[in-house]
Amino acid sequence: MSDTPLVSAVIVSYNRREDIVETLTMLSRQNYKNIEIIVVDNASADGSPVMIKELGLPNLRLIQMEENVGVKAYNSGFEAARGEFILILDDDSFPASDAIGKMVGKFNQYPTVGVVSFNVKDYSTFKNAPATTASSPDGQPFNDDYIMSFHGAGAGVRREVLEKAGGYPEEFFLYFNETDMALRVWNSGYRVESFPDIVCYHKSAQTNRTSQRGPFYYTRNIFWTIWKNYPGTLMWKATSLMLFYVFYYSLEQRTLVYIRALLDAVVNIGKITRAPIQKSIAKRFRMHFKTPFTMYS
Amino acid sequence: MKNILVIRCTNLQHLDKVFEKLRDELPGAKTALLTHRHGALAAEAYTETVAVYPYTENYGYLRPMKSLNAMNFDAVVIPVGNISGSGFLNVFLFTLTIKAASRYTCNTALELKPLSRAKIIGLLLRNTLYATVSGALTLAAGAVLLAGWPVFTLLTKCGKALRQ
Repeated sequence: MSDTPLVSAVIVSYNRREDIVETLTMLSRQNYKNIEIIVVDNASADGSPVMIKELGLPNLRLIQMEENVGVKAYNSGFEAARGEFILILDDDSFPASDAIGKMVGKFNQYPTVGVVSFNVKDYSTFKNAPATTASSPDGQPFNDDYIMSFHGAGAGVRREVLEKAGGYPEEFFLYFNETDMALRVWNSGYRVESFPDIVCYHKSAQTNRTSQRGPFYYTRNIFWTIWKNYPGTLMWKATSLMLFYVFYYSLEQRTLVYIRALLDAVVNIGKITRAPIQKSIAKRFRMHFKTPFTMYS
Repeated sequence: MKNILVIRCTNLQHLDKVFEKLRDELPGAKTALLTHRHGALAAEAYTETVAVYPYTENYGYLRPMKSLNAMNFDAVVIPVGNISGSGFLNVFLFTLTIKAASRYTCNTALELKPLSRAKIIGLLLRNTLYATVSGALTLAAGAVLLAGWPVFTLLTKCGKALRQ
């Protein structure tokens, strides 16, 4: 095994041309040099592909989709990737200059870790101060009491894990795709672990909460994640909890978006394929059922 | 306010902004951060005083933290991942188990809003009504889903066959 194996950074861009240019610029400043960059453009209308090409990065490949296909675009990037490890980024996130090297180090140190989740910090911390890095759990056993997903704005994945567990669920279109994939990664015998000293920066605009897009897709996709992955009794328990939340937060927030999402999940259930994971994994997995209900209002 | 407890219940990106806000508004204040175990290492970057919630479940009034009960805070700050604070009642109720002179929410617009005990109790009463109605609706919808599950299973199989 090479000390510096090829890392493929896969980024999906959609109408954020200034952000994607900054992301690519920061990637080109990585201490770790054996990187290929794959940008999958989801049919941006703001001229992003032109600006990406104008950067003239020699290690960059641009794949242009004919329409916005959501997270399916990531899978196209994964298929095109040649690296032993794949770095997943948003078009408005980028790793700290030492992050990719550290990621490779963790993969080499922990053969059972299939996904390295980065410490995704707010972009303002990059602008205002150098990264304050916390420590990582080196030499300590990982926590097995409860297990978790990863953050799609900054995560590394072994190629072999993608081949065994599969990539993002294309039917989800947007949101909660990481959790569905994380369940399959755990079920394939690999771990998903967070390392606080591996930092990336993300520019999300958290004050814009009037859009119903996030709550809709999150809610629908949580139902689908449960129905796809959870075994028997746990599936019904989790479904009951989600149904309760749908009604409860519809009343509290005076909105129909959650009920629309539930109906969409039921009506389009034919889009998902049920493949229950091991019960021991589903029981220990810390699923964030409440997330969609704290996004809106 | 000199002695502040921040309860981590939103993502680290929001926490970055909350701590920046507190440093700006309350220079010199001493902050402690309460987090679940999975966030303990990342929390070290924010403050020297990190308290780890001993439960894997969400913060809750019925899951108090004994070691916190022995401490007094000038304020508890609850970061909320939206504008109104909706969805965080369990954290608000949990703060009633902590000795604090005042409570504040810090929303995504970084507004620090006071949160009184009376307001928390009022929210609890209102949401108890919502919970009762929601429980009944959940039973009805659950029964429909359970009855229709064989059909759903067939649909997923048909969908899979069509995709292949």
